[in-house]
Amino acid sequence: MSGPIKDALGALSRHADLINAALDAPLDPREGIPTKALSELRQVSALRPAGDDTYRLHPKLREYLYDHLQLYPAYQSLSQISADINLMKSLWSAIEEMRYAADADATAQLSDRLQSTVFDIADNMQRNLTQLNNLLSTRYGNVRSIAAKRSQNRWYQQQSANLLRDLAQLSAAGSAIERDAAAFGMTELSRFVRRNLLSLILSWQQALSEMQTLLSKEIFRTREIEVQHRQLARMDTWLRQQPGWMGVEVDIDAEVPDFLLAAHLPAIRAHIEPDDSDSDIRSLVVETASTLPAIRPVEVPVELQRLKRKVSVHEPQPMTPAMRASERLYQYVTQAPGSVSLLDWRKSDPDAQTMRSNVWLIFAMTDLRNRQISVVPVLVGETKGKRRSHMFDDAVASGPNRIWESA
Amino acid sequence: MRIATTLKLLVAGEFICPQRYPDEFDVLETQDGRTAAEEWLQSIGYRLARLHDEGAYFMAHAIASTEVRSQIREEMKTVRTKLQPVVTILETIRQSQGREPRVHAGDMVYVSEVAEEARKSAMLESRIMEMREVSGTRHDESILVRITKMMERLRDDGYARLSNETSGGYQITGKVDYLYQLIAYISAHAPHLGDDKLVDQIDQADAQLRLDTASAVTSAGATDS
Repeated sequence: MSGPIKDALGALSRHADLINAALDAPLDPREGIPTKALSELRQVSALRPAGDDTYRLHPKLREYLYDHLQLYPAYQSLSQISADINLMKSLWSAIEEMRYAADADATAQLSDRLQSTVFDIADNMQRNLTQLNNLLSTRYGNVRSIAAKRSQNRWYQQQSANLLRDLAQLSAAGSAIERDAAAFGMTELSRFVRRNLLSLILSWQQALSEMQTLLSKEIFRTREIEVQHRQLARMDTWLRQQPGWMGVEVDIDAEVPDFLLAAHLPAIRAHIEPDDSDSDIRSLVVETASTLPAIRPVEVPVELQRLKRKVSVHEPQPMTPAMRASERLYQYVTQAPGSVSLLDWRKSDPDAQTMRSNVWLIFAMTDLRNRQISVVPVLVGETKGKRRSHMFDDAVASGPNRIWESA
Repeated sequence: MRIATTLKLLVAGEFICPQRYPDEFDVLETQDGRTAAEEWLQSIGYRLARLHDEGAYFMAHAIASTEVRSQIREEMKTVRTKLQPVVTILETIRQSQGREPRVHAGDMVYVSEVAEEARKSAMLESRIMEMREVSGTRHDESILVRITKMMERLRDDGYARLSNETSGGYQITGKVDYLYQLIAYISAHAPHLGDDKLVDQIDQADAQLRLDTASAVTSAGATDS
């Protein structure tokens, strides 16, 4: 890189903050800006004097930054191409003169310059279209006041109208150059103009026309909004002033505007499908479900267990000798007129003798007592040292006859 | 399928705008969706209409028959019930926004912003606190609560949607164009709504006088028609 360019870019880089500040407002040294910094920026022509002791950014540098950052301040003018068109025409006139003079070098130089001008025009047009597009798509960014919006609408409508006029001039001038260049035998230049200028003009004109339509719509819309605001305020005042006013008598015989024909039908009951993922349907399902009565627990009827009476058939147990002996003893005791010694009776009964005497005694006593027969043990005499004896060696049973008799 | 939901909303009388029903609006913005809706509505005797070139879609009567015209005529006689709550609330919001009113489709209204402006202006505050159009209000509630109820009323009527619950941000929906068109229509058909017929302050006697005038105008209109 050559020295002067490096120096210039170095100065801009060192004082980037100042350049940033100068993009918004002129720099005033009285606000504490170092004189050395201002001096350096002035040396590389980045700042221009503006009034007394203030400095503003070089317009081309400002334009470059806006272009690079796509920043479009309010009322930013579109790049004019009329000057470039005039330049293009002048260059072509000079080329014609040099052709007649047969000065090939000068013709080549002028031709290069003309091509460069064509590129400049294309760049400026592209930039203008981008700028308009951005402004319209963001509706002028932060401009919120309707009056400011209306003013900007008109500003850019005027700008785009001027640009459209310039495009018509450009088309005429470009066509003339392309035609004359071909006639002169400068086919390369003719082709260049056709490819890089004439073929683009139509699309630029269309884009500008579309933006003008948009701007017209915006202007109309802004006006409409203002009218609507006024009518809203009037209606509100009217409603407050006229509490008895209920409506208007209107003649509906003429054409009816669409909004008055707005209709509705009774709500359609949604057909709910289990796999319907629509949020409205889901909320409807939830709502419907919530209105249903609470689920009552299902009472399962208790099944009565059918019981079958089980009749057990007992085989008569075979009579044991003890059973036979006890039966006979009972019969004997109940019929005997007096007391019956159990041990004596044992001697007469062979079944009773199958048991030992002591076993028989306990068995017979228990059996007879169970049958409500009084049985009294015959105690063994008292021994020395014991006041009472708990031992017995026989028992005497008294049948009902004996008890009755004694009673 | 979105077209089914879209048709149900249209039939229910909803205004399909990008703010309130973005998915359904997108369906109607496609050629296929719009054709399907138009054909279906046509088959049941209605048609698809829009409030303006970029406005909300809605279902309209296919033909303005005598019966429909008669119905509209009757509705216009009692149009106050349709206007009263929404006009008052929207105008209150508009007044709170000073020289930069934002009460059109897509505009955002923050409860806190309206409340802040109301605290600065006694007139606006009293207008809000004395508003009878909002139901379920209490005398002792704060202005923030009252404005929230105002916005909820707009939301319930389909003129706004809660866009940001945390910050209390409501977005005006495309249905508001219906209201503006209705007001414009009434203004065009009611000469007494001109500027010279309205005053900012009226006393009670004047109010009675104007009430009589309005009745006379209405009666005259009825006689003319």
